[in-house]
Amino acid sequence: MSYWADVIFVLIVVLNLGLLSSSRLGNCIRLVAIEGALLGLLPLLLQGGQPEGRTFVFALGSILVKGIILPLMLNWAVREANIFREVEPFIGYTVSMVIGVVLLIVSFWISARLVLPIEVSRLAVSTALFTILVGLFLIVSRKKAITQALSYLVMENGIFIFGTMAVALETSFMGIIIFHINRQFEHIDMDQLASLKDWHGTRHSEERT
Amino acid sequence: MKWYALIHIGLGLVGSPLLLGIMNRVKAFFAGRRGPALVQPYYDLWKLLRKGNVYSRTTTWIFTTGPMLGLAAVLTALTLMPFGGISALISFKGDLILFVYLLGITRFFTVLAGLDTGSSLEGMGASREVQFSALVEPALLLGLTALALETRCLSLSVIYRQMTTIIHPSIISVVLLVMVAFFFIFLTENARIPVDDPNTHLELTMVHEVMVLDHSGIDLAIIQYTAALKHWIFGLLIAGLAVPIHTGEFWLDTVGVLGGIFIVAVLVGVVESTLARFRLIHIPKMLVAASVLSVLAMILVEVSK
Amino acid sequence: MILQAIVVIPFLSGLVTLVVHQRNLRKIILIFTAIVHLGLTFFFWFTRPPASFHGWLAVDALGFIFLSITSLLFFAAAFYTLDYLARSEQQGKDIHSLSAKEMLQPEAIFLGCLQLLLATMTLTILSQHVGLLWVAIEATTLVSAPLIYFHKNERSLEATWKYLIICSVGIALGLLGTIFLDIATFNTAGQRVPLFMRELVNGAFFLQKDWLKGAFIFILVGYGTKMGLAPMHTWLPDAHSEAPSVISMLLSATLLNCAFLGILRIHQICVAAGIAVFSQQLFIGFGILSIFVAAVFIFNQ
Repeated sequence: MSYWADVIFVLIVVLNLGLLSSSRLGNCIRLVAIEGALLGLLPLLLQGGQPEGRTFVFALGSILVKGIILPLMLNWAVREANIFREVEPFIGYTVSMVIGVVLLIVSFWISARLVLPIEVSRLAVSTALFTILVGLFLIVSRKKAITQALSYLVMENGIFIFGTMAVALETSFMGIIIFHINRQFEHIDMDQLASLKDWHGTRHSEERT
Repeated sequence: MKWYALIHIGLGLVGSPLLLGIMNRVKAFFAGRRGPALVQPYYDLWKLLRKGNVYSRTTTWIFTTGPMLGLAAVLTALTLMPFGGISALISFKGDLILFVYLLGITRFFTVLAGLDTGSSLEGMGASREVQFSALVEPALLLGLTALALETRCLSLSVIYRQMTTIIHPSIISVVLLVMVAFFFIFLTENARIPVDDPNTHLELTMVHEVMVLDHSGIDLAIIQYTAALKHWIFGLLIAGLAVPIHTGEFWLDTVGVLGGIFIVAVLVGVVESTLARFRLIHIPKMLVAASVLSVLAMILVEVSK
Repeated sequence: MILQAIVVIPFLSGLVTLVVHQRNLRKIILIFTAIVHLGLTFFFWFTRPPASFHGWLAVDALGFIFLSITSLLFFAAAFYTLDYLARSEQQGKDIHSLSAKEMLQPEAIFLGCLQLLLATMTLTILSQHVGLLWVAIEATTLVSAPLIYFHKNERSLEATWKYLIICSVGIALGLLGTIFLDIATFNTAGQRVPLFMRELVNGAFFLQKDWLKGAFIFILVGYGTKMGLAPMHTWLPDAHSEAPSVISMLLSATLLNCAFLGILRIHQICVAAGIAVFSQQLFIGFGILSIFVAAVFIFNQ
């Protein structure tokens, strides 16, 4: 069973690398949606023996929200703001992909040196670290507000992988609920952000005063 | 001397233009036409062989010998290439590096012959071709390195023989990643859409075609035949990974890998029919993606040990 | 029972304020909430309330100080808000001749979120479970965002967005730290320490030291973002300057305290586990960095 979990982790790594190189917003949203849906399957696979009923509900809820509802809201926001491509980001796309490889190597190296008290595969820890790092990197290097919100979702996906490993499902459960509410807020904001498409620096605000 | 490897080389020599025919037929099918006959490339080669050559006055001996040197290099690479799980004619430790550089020599002489004409048009094609190849070589080497890491040996024949015997689910992701990377490399090295359009005759959009524009007659036949052989070799690279059967029965394995190559040809035809050519600035991204997939495969090999 | 009241009452009155239409009734509810909260806190000074919800909520010594500060300040803020709202509306009418609808957030949202903020802050202070602490801090971020966006202009929108995304990233890292703490509770014997403060402090000896250190780092960086430690403080100048002065006061005097409480809790665990030196050094380091950054920027100004 853990073999299928490994396949999912590899797919997530490939999806993250694709996210680093993609400039079309519709594409990015689709990639994050697929990632979220795949991660929803993860608790079922990592449970080991007989998965309990509440794990099923949890997984179904995750897949529904991350794979369908959130992308719909994000697509709606994209159409409202009438932007379809990212403007040239601070760090170019090809360079981002190479940096992604570096981050991948770093996360594998770190996970090799961690002493894990629980039974988890090294691939799982590496994928989680890699996803978090990619999310952080994307938040920093992209200019559009929608891409930043999307990268935040990626980061949260990475933290979710860690959460499923620490079998304290209550923590991950609470975490997920709050993240969902958080995203609702960000989408209400997105509506008003239709006028504010780029990331102005603080200098810009100072000029105004 | 392994006599059965000679059979495979013969198959390659005879069957490679057929791959081109298959691709054209698939493209015609998608366009709703009947398309040329499957053996049309053979007729084209035969026609070209009977024609005379025309040489421009600005060219030197490089232009006349370039195609032949390219063909010689590719033929040598063919002797190194294993047929699925069956060893190649020549195999020794480290032959995969020689393999990559033989392909590099082919490209080098084609480019040199193109530059020798002194035409700026061919210079443009040559520079584009070299730019893509500069990115393809690391991708190819990294992909082969991933396979070498998995099987712990440096000879192409041994690698492919091992790959067909270890059919373990845990390495499927590695094999898949390397296969996808090799597919990108196939499309680039053989100048297929989405990297280059083999049918275009607009100067602005040509990459490989423009480089060989000035060749005629026998030289052109040699160049087209070299291209067909390259298709065959790269197809073997992919099909050898895709067909993981090693029954030990010689003819069964041969037919299996042949089937694999033809499926690869059909797949390339489908890709050519459904995609448009990428903008030139996006192609480096695709090649870097191929390298990245190979690196990921390498990392996965280490992790699963 | 009493303990739940101090959280539930502001929460309910906040929700009620969101839907009530009459302006005066809303203001009365706000004042009522402030008085009740202060009254209950005063009451706790004399009689310690018992833990409720099987130990999820309790008032310990540390919580007492923070609770008193929060309660007092909110009380003062509530009265000031009434005057502030009246003046803002007047200003809007006089200077810009705009209706309140165009210039300002609806009062209902403002007053409602204010009380929800009180509720979530109290929940943070009282929470004894590390996971619930995280949920409460995330909730404070969410309910305080509309408060910053009171004056609807482009600058405050940008400030609110910065606040939301930077604090969300920080709190996500805080969640990662909490998960690391959870992992640290696994030991080779297979027993697990539950994530309650008292058990964690008592059983700190059995925690995996490396994971505890990792948890401390991530919680320090994560909740430190909310608190305004350099170099994660970049949302502070914008948010505090664009928000109404009442909100600015509440943010800096009470909300930052709550984030600091989160950091202090894990410091307690570290001290009990014997790696106090590690956490203390990190505290000193970040503190010096913050002062240094401030000094440099004072020069610039």
